[in-house]
This record gives sequence, structure tokens and C-alpha cells, in this order.
Amino acid sequence: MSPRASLVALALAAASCGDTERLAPLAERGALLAADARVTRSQYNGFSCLTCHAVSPAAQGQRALPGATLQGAARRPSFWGGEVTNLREAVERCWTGFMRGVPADLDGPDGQAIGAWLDALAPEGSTEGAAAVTTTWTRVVRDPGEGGDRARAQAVWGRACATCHGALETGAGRLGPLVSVLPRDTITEHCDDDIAAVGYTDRQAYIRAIATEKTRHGSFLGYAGVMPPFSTEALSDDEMRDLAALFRCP
Amino acid sequence: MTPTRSLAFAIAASTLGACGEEVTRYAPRDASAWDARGAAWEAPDGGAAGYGFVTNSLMNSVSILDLAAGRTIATIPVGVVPLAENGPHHLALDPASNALFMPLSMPPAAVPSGPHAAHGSSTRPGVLVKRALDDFRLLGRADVDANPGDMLLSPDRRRIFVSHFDLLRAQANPGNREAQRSNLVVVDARTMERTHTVPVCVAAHGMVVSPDGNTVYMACYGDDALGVVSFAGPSPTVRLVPIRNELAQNPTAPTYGPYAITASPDGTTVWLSCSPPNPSAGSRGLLIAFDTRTQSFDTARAATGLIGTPLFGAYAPDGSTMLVPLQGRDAIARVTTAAPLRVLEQTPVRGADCVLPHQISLGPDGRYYLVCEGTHDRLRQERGTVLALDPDTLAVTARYEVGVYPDAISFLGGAR
Repeated sequence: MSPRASLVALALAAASCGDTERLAPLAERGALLAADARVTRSQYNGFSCLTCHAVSPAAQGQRALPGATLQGAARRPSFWGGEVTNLREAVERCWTGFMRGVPADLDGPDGQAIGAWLDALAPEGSTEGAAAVTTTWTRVVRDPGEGGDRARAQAVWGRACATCHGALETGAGRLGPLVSVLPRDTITEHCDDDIAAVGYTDRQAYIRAIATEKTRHGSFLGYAGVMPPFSTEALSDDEMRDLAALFRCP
Repeated sequence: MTPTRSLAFAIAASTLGACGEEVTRYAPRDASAWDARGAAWEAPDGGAAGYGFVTNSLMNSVSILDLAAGRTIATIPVGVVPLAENGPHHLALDPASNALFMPLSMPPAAVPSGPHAAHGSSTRPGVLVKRALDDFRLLGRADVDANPGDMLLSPDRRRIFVSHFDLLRAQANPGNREAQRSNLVVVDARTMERTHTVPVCVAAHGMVVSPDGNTVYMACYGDDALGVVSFAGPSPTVRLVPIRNELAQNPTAPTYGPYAITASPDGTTVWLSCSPPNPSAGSRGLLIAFDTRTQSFDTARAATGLIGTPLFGAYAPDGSTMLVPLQGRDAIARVTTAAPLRVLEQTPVRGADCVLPHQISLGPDGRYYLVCEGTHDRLRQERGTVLALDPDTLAVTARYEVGVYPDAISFLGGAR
């Protein structure tokens, strides 16, 4: 059937049903997609936009999220701590880097709807959330030290990590089967490393540094996977030190 | 979204529900939600005097210089890999297609970013990016080999040539000259698809292209040679012309180390600037001419007594002289371009103005622009500079602070 014939058939089908029809702004569809991990069409993706971003500071509450709030994002002059000045390019980093999507889909109907939603969060003339968000990346990571508090770390875990990694030790409720169970998987993977080769003599310091590196760099700077990085604004160095205390080699 | 697609989308959405139900139809959107909000930089005087675009290789950015106002008006990020040093090197502008091209070299971090990263490979593919000149949005990208060095646009603006200063490849393949050779990669400027991958020589860097676009000349650092790549036939051909009688015995420690290159405007002469890794006493680097008509080096036009290592130079408008930046003792040399070569002057640059001069170019306003690398200190964010120089006296007429480790300049607009 030709595209034109398909259109005619669809139109006839629509007209014959007697449905009531509601015309909605495209942004409304974007809002639904922003909360849906299926949007990138990757069977391996567990992230939606709202996994890592809150719409507003009020919606974020006490959660420590790696992404900036989205209200006003469409009016911001820069993103990713000043690394990007174009909204689409900023979103493409998430879309391909974390959500396993293909860039072209951002220009398709679903991507357009998400763009429309982001636009609608920042109406013309609005300045709410329009300032660039200060984001500091810790590029060179070292052991945060052994002063971390494991009790405080439990609370930090709940605010920053549990959404994706689920419960500590068991991973119950994590985003998907590919997501690491922590701290177990990191310990299993790294506690037998040749630490002298990378300048370490203390294995506990090393595993703390590994945990910190993964948190600060996510899937970048030599690491892999799809984890987004946490800036020092999203997660303070004190909070990071507490979290690192959860990681101990046997 | 096209009207037809919008209509199909709207109708399809409306038919998803069962009959008798309320169905939602979404309004189509004509403009892309991803359009940039506006230009990334403003041209305050309409571009009458021209602008300089400078890559900051340790700051993932491009600085834009207003040549009339004598100030840096914007510094715009250009990286595509998050958090990492992207290493923008050289660049080319094409106003006709509103495009800026640059290879990102993805250098290994000077300090390992963490214990895990230290386990990894330090050889990452480079990325050639194409961005819009006005709002810097990403228009396309193409993977190239590791350690991209120089890049050129062909005179017809259809092809991009990228060299690879890939010393690691040379070190990783001792005794295997073929495997040590770096590629000249050719990319279609419109589609950003790679069209040719041509193994040329060991650690090629500086390149120039003939006025007809058919021949690319490359400084072949590890071979002590000039690479001549012809695209005139159905497939590219490569010829290496040694500076002296033979190619370097040890490509990882060449005698001359040709690194930078400068072409005469008429294309009849190509100058190699050499940066030997182990300069012997009294030899700080060779500057030597290659005659493209005879396809041979012209020893009557060579200099070895310069006070520093020569880099990327620029011809005077009348073609009689050429300026060449020197590193080591930071200076500018003015030499004659006809045989016998004479060194007319070697003028030191003030350290406060310029550290490690790297490239000199003739601007659209008739002044020379000298790109000075600075101290490369990223942690302290010590910035490099660009100096505007009087063409006759070489006096500094403007000083622009740019980003960390500026590497190259290209011009937009202006009279020339």
C-alpha cells in the first residue's frame, strides 16, 4: 500500500469510529515519554529522563540526582558544566551515552515530543531555571580517605544510588539485571587488582578510590557502562567519602 | 516534521484507541524543538574587519577574536566526549556552508584520572567534527585514527584531509615500517563520510594541498621526508621524498623530524619546518624548501642556523619573504623565499606577550597573527595568547588572551 493510500485508510478508520477526539499539545506526549525508559527503543535501557533529572527543585526534594533540574533547561546558555551550549547536543549525550539510543531518534516523533515538553517547561519570557547550572567535574580522582561514616552512607545511598542500584548488598529493586549489585560487584571485580601497578599500597584506599572514580566519572574517562557521573554539586566530597566507606576488600 | 509525516502521526495517534473512546491527538510541531536559541557569538561590527577563530587544545574550546576591536569576544566549547580532554587542534572554516571543521585528538590525560583509568588504553580514536559557524551546533562527526594532527579543506571545499601524528603506532611496531605508517584520512565535507584511508608515512603532521586540490604534501616526522600524495588518478598514490638521501633509520628517533609545513600561495614551494627529537649541537631544526615543479628539495633554500625550532609560517603578500615562528628561544624569523635563502631577522618575542609561538598567519586586515601556546598548564589554567603584529616592524599591535594551549588560527570575513 502506498503512503498516500495508507493515509486515506487511516483517515477512514478514524472517521468511522465515532470516537471523541481531544487535541493535546505535543508537550503532553513528551511528558509521558520523559518518564518512560522505552523511549529510546533499546531493550537494554533502564533509564528514563526522570531517572536522573527532576523537573524542578521542589520535585527533586532530598534526592541527589546526577542530572540538573529540567525546568528552564531549554533557556539555559550551557549544559554539562559548560561543555555544551546546545540543548539537543546536551540531550544527545544522555540519549546515546546512558540510554543506549540512536541520535536520529531525537529528530523523530518521540524526540520532537520530548523537545516540545522541555520547551513547555520554560515558556517564552520565563527565567525560572534559565541560568546555567554550576556543575563541577572531578577529573582526577584519588582515595577520599578512611574517615567516611558507614551509617551516614546508608542515607546517602538512599538519596543518590538506590534508584538505580536498588538495595545495598542485594540489589533488590534495581533498574535492571545489568545494573551492578553494590558493593559486592565492585569488590569482586577489583579487590584482586595489581594495585602497585597503579601506585597504590593500601588495598582499602584503592577500593575506595575505585568507588569514587566510578561515581565521579560514570561511564567516562576510562570507565565504561552507562552510569552518569555525579558532580560535586550533586554529591559533595563529604558524601562521597561516606559512600566510599561502604566499599571494603576482605 | 514534514506536513505529510505530521498528518500521518496525528491520524495514527487518533486511531490507537478502541471505537467509542476518547482518543488524544497531538498537535504537530512545525519547527524543531532542538533548534538553537540563537547565535553562539555576536559579530558586533558585522564582520567588516574579520574574525579569528583559535582552537584551545587543552580547554575543549574555540576562542573568537574581533580583529577590529582587538579583543576576544567569545570562547565556545567544542568537545563531544564528556569530561575528557578532547584536544581540538587545527581548524578550517567554510562560510559558504556555515561550517567549521576540526579534528579532536583525544589526548591521553597527563595525570591518570583514577586508578581504574590507568589500566586502560591511552590510544583513543580521534573525532573530526563539523559545527555550524553561527551557533556552533554539531552538524556531523566522523571517527578518524588516533592522534589526528593537521587538517585541511580542499580548495573546492568538498574534501577534508586529516593527518595523524601517531608516534604510538611507530613505537608499537618496531621494525615494521608498513605498520608504523600513519594514515591520511579523507572525509567528504558534506556527508562527513570517510572516503579514503591512505597509509603514507610515520607520524605525519603538517599538511598543505596544491591549488588544484590534487596533491597533498605532508611533513613526515618519523621518516625525515616529505610525503607527496596524489589524488589525480583513480586511486591515490604516495611518494616519499627524503630530506637527505634516505628515510630515517629509526622512525621513533628521526634525525630531522619534519613537523610543520608552509606553502607558497602559488603552490610552487612547500617549506618543511623540522623539530628534531634529539637536536645535535648547532642544529636546532631545519627549514628547507621543496620545489613542487621539480619535485625535489632545494638546498639553496635551507636554514639550519636559526635560533629556535621553526614551526608553521606565513608568506608576505608579495611573496618575497616568509615569517616563521621559532621555539626554544621564542622568536620570529623573517627569511627570503628565493634562492639563496637569507635570514633577514630573528626577532625575539617578549615572554610576557608570547610563550612558545606555534603558528603565524596573515590576517584579512594585513597584519600577522602569531599563536602562542603558553605554558600548557591546564591545572592552573594559564592561557595562551595571540598577537597581532605590524607586517613591517613586527611590533605588537594587539594582544589577545585565549584559552589553554592554543594551537591554530583561521579567519572569517574581512577584506582579504
